[in-house]
Amino acid sequence: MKQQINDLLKPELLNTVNGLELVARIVVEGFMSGSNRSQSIGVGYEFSQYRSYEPGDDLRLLDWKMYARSERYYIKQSEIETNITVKFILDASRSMDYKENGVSKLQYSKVLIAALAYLARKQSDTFGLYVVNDQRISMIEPRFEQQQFMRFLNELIAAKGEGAWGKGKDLEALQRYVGKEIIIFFTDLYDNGKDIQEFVSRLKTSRNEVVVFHVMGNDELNLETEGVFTFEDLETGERRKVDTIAQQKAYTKRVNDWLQQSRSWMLEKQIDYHLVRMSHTVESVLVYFLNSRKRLFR
Amino acid sequence: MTFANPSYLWAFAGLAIPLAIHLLSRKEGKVIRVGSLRHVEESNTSQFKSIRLNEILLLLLRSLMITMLVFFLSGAQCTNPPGAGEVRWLVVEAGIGEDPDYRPQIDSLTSAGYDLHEFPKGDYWTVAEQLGRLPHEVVVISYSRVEGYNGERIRLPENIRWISAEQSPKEFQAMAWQAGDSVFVRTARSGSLLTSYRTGFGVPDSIEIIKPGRITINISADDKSEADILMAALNVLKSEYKLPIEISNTQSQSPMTNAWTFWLREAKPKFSGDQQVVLSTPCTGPLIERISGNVLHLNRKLDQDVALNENLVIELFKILYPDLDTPNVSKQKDIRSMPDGLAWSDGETKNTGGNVPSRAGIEKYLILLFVLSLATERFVAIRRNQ
Repeated sequence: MKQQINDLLKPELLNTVNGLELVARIVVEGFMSGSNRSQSIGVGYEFSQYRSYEPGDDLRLLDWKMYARSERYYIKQSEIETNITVKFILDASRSMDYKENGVSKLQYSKVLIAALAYLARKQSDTFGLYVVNDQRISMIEPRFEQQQFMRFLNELIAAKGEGAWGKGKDLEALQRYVGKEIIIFFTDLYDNGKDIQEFVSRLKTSRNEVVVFHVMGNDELNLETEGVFTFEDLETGERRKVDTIAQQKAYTKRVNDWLQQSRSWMLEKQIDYHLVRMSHTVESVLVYFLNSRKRLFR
Repeated sequence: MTFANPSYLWAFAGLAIPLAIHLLSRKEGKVIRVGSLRHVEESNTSQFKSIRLNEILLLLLRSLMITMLVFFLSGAQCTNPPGAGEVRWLVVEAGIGEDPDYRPQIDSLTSAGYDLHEFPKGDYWTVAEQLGRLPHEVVVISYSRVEGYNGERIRLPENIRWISAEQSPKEFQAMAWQAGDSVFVRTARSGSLLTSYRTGFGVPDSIEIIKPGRITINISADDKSEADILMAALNVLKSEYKLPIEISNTQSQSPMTNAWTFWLREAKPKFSGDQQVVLSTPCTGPLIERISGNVLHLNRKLDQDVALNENLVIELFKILYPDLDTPNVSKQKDIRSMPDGLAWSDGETKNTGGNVPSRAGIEKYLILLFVLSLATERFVAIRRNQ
């Protein structure tokens, strides 16, 4: 199953709405099948079950018709409507075009976003998309509509890696407080100075939840390809001749320090940080993410 | 350096191949596009420099290989360049050193680094054979006198350049003899092509005047015409060269003292004289041939044809006055020279020894160098890829 999903990660498939939807559905259905749905029960439109009245229960929830038939107090329970808004922010800077095994970080992120959005739709959550770089910010404001998902996928497919991470006032629109929400941010954390750190810090408020998916390639983490190469910065075009054998140790240490540092400042801000290795399948990443959230709420 | 097939030198254009490889591979190498350079450093360590050095070494080796290949194809040969320190000989025949015609040549060669040596007048072929054993270049200037070539003709060794000096013709008095109260002088004119003589009255310079002794000749013949021809021939000697000859046609059957007897009869002579010329059975060979101490055979019957064609007068002169024949002074001063075409054999010669060919094929060195550079190139290339 996992291999099949990886085979699906091809540009020609990911660049069409149907294709992306298909991939997202396969990913999600793959691990959702057989699992229970909502875990919390409360006031809602959809009936769930009856239970006996206990002192302290809201009298408004008493089912009087049931009392008339059986002369017992029953409380009518239904599934709680989860009115959570999920905002996806995608870092569409040029550096996200970094490829490993033919799949770029951007494409990988797109599949993850599509899968999560599909999940959100199933759970009747509203979701929106913000694709950000320094040239433009395209938005799909969170709505609960039938067409939302298609619009969402269209925008997602249109996203291209250009320029650098955005700066300035345009970003403030993203930081507008809407209500209870989850913000899921896909990025490689490559920026100038601490742009992204500042941005993420400001996203976090006491009432929302921020999740950062840090997408990293395997080679990027370990500098495994041996030899002398010219490294070119995707964003600046700057070139450096690098002897990977000589530098590997120092490089790995620097990267690990950087990851550790990122993780710790996010932890301080109560931001959920996930390092995503592109060598892992999209499905396994999703399973891991959802399981960790489940553990968090129990 | 010379080439057997210079047209193959076009293959030097192949040098563009390693050069192109070098320039193309120099161009940055493989480019890896990454998100950020923040974690990598520019490698400019000594190792990196050694890699660049390796590339230059590879270029040189590859160029060398192609050069070797081209040299091999074009059949390169090494000619020993006239360099300083090399031993070269100039060998001249005794006497040429003083010849004003050849002095400048000798001087210019000696100033160009040739060691001057002299060899005495003598057997040129022996000299050439000895010089041919020398391991270096030899220039020989000789008069190439005809009498210097004796024995089996050899081929001129390859390290020798033989220059024949030409001499201007010279005249000298070969001999002089007294006839009566006058003196005959035989004057020779000798050049590189021929030596000619003429005889006439004259005053001898420094040569001895020979006084020929009186000879009495007794002719006894069956056939009178034979006796007449002989008489005529003797009369030529007597009248033209004033030689003191006395002829007594006595038909005597008895020996005579102090006289020559020409016995031209069928019957054998019954006596023996001082000198006796006997008509023998006609046969080939010289006209007059000495058989024993004082007996000579006349091998043909004398008639007009024989007398004219076989130089009867000269033959008679030779036997009657042997000391007037070509004297030593004439041999010494004869300067006829042997044309170079005749002096040296064209055919295969006996190996004259350790002469070093001045032009050497270098194929085996080229192949060796090619193989060596190929091995080194592979070694360096593999190490570089590691």
